[in-house]
Amino acid sequence: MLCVDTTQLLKGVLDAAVLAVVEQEDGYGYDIVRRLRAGGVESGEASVYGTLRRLYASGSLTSYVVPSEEGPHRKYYGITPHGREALNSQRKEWQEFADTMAGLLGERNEAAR
Amino acid sequence: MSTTTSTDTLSAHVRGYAQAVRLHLEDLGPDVADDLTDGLEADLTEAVLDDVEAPADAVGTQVFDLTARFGPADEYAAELRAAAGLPSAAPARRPIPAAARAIGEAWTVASDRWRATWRPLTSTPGWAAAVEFVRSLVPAWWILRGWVVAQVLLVSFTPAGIVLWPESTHGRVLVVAAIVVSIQWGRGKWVPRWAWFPRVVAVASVAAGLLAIPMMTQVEAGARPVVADYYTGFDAGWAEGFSNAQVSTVNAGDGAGTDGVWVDGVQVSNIFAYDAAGDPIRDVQLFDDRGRPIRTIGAGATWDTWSVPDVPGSWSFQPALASDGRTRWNVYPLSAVPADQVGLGDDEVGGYSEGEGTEYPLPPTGVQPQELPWPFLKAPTAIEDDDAVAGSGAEESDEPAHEGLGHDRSANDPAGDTVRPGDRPASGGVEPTLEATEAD
Repeated sequence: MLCVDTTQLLKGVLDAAVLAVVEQEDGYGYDIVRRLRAGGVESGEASVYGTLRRLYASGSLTSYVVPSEEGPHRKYYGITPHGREALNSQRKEWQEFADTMAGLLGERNEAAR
Repeated sequence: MSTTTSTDTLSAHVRGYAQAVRLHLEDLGPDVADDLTDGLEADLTEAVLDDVEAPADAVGTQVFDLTARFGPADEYAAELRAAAGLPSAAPARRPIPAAARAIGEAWTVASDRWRATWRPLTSTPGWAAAVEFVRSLVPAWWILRGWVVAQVLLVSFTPAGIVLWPESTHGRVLVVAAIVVSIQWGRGKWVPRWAWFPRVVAVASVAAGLLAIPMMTQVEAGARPVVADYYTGFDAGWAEGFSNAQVSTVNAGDGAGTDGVWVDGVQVSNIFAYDAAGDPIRDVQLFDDRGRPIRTIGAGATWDTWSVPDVPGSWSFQPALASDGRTRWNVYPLSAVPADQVGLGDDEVGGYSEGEGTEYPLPPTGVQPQELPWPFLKAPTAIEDDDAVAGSGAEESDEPAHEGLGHDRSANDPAGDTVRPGDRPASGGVEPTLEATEAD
């Protein structure tokens, strides 16, 4: 399981993870936390809620309110075209980053042997 | 969930936690904070219920410590705002945690305990009635508060003294205005909406309450005409009044106007009597119309030191002694000894320590009380020599009782160190004037 703290690393990764989850299907705050966990990303709930709010403010997400039959209404988030663009570029960056790291770590590992 | 009770309790806890988080986001302003915590309760509740696989009972017991599940509210809020890309809380608010929280908790515990201690009393109907009664006096406090504030302003910015009702028009206007404002504030009207304002009013009210008592005491003292004279003395000229006060008294003390004899706002230290022909009379006993002895040196002021005109240094007055040994402070003129010789001066020569328990500062052995200089050799005016008026006076002027202040010491002629006009008739050893009037 990938456990992310509120570090510098988190910001880029969590943004991408949240965008990816929302891209699959619209969701509300805790729903997204739950799906991130299911996907293997354990993050502080407050971090996820804060990230959702920031992505919404930057125009990557849209939101709408769904009345709930039991309890309070739910604020659902959906991805915007701008968010999709951002997600794609982050995917690309992550892929490059992961490749670089894999290559680097692989070399080191061989050297260590 | 099978029991609504536990879900109700849960939602109460969730609301409390969410409220605490909002409190830590307060500095962002209501819009941002609401936006950031919109739906927080629902998310928290769902997270809690998600964690609890077991039904109702578990909800009722283990999970309700939301801090254990989500962390302290301030950290939760910090994480929320960090992830949202918002600035962290203002540094001024940060240092609150450890020390201040401990103090706050200690205060809560102490106040709870205090309340619990008095509950047997405070839960009685009598107490409630007393509280209600005190509460009904609150308007009176508003008036007093306004009056105190007005007095502080008047005393600070005008040469007025503390009086119940100022004599000047502007003083009266100020008092009325301050009282009206104070009442309106007490009723919650005319209150500016500045955030700091209630605190300032609270602090000022406490200060006014503390000042009220000494000010009321001042007013009581001011009700006597003496201080009214002093007050008009200011109008006549502050400098003159000040210099007069300097000449006549070393310490008028706090009891100014409450004891002693006063002339034109200046306290009298000694009295010199002249007969109808204008000649000095010694050992005059003075009483008022009620038969009370007239004392310039009050019972509480016998240890005071005085400066007197034309003689340097400070002096400690000595009473006359009656034939039975009791002191008589209403026999004039009073004699005096230099203050430093009775241990009240710069260097302790005299018997200060042994004299501390005595009624007045006793001079050490060998030091004679001195007569102080008379203001005139002869009184400026002579009273017409009518038989009925001047008869007895004329007799006494024939034999002025010189050193005979009732002291046994007067047998030794202190003429050498007596300070007085030189060419007055001086015949010693006339004592009996005191013995004759030992009636009281």
